[in-house]
Amino acid sequence: MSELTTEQVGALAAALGLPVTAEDLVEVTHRLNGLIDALEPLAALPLETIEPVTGQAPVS
Amino acid sequence: MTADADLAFLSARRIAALVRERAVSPVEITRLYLDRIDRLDGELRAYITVVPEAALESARRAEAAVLRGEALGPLHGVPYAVKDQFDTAGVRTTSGSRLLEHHVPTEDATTISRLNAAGAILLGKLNLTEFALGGTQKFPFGQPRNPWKLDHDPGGSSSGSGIAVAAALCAASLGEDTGGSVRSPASFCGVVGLRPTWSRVSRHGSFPLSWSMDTPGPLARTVEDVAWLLQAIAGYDPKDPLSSRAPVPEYAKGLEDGVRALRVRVIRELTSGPETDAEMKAAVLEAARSLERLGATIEEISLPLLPRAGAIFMALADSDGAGVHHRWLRTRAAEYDQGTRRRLLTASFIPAAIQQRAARARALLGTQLREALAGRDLLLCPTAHQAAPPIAAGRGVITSRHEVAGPLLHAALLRHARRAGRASRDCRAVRLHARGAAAQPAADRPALRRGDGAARGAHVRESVRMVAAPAARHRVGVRSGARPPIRRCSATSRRPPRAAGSRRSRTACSR
Repeated sequence: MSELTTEQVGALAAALGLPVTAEDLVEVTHRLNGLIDALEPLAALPLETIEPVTGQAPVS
Repeated sequence: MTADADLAFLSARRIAALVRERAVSPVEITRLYLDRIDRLDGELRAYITVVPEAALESARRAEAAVLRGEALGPLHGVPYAVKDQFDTAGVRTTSGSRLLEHHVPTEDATTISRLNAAGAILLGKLNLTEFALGGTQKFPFGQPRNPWKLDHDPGGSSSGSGIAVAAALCAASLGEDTGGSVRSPASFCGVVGLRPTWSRVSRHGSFPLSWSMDTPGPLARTVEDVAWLLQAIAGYDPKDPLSSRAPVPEYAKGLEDGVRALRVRVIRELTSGPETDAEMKAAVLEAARSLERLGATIEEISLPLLPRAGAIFMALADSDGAGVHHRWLRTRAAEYDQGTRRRLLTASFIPAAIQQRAARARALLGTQLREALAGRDLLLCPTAHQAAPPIAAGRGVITSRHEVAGPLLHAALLRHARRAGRASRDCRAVRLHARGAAAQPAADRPALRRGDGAARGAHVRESVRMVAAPAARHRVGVRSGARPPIRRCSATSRRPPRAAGSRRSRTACSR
């Protein structure tokens, strides 16, 4: 995924009604891009056939 | 050490035994801990709120019950404290945030009710990272400090729960673990911490972060104590529809059985990976060798997806948290700590496709972990990639996307247990085994039927007083011996500048 800009993240925030200061916006954009980067390798895994369930069920 | 300090550092079970034998009064031991809190906590900041009057009243009732010869609960007369994430009737519950600074619940969390019913005496509410999220930059109720070295991180989010047990400001404590929040402070503070299997302990009355990951968990100075605390809080609760209806086993049963024939796997990526400090690796491998000498079978296992667990966790748990906090993020954003706010805002924008990919990866990781545990009793790995870092290392802003990846990889060490939905244990770092080494049973029920392999291993190592913590000794100033070198606070340091609403400003704390 291409790198998100502060303008794009700011637009997302506005759409969700979330007030974000200019200082917050810069760091939030870095954090979001970094997290997406870290998850990118998962795209190479054969995940299509795996149900996205939590795997959590009460001990029975 | 004085005789009083010796008493304060006793295990919870030993204190309960002394109370039962009428060798120690519940009032005496409660006063002792309250006095230590008063002398030491101005600097350590383990507590947000102390309830001395209520604690002493409970202690007097406990003493009267002893003198009347009544049937006593397993934790009768044992003073404990609880992370300020759990509701306590009539005592404010802040979740470590200014947003809940004046929140006073009318009902106890189920865990609190059960500990009280077991005879334990509540001393107060313990400090935590804001809303148990992690990454707090400025703690609203005071910076919690590692009792082994005050300028170092005590771990979190259950920071106060680790500090209070390590510094003997209570006999035992309760924390909550979503992504390592019990295990991290247990590791950094050198005590025993347990993340129970999800659903084993009711979440009712605990401020939520992630519905599928949150679980209360005990911290104490011995493995046996943790087993008894779990015994007190485990079991179905109609107020938590996701709590387990399965019978609760006897957690302390089999602790003395030793580790002979236990089958242990050491996770290669987390123990020997490039993110793990050499001394952490050495300490964990030494722990493995110790278990082998005691009769366990040790082998290595590779789980290549595990280093991604931190990122997977954040995509899912932080998204859950963003949902929990959405209304306040829209209306009260400025009241959050900067670190909390930025993390929750980030999670608010994670694309659905990324979240779903993370959820699929989580399911895959769970399958891989279950396969790794097949025919084995436990997995062994470090809890953290390094010993407790300086507090200052956790402060500051992120200035590039590349700074994000490192912490996510480090976080993976704490996330994997939850992926499989299993219990994990942080065994006492200083005297027990490698700093922060965690052991995970193959599965809750089978492992526990065998006497719980992980707990047995930890208990054996504790019993023979094995020391395998070079990281602890020179990284965080731990000396030989098992007590943190806490200084008595000076009159000045006992009363640092405090923000309005800090625990000392409350009537419940005035003594």
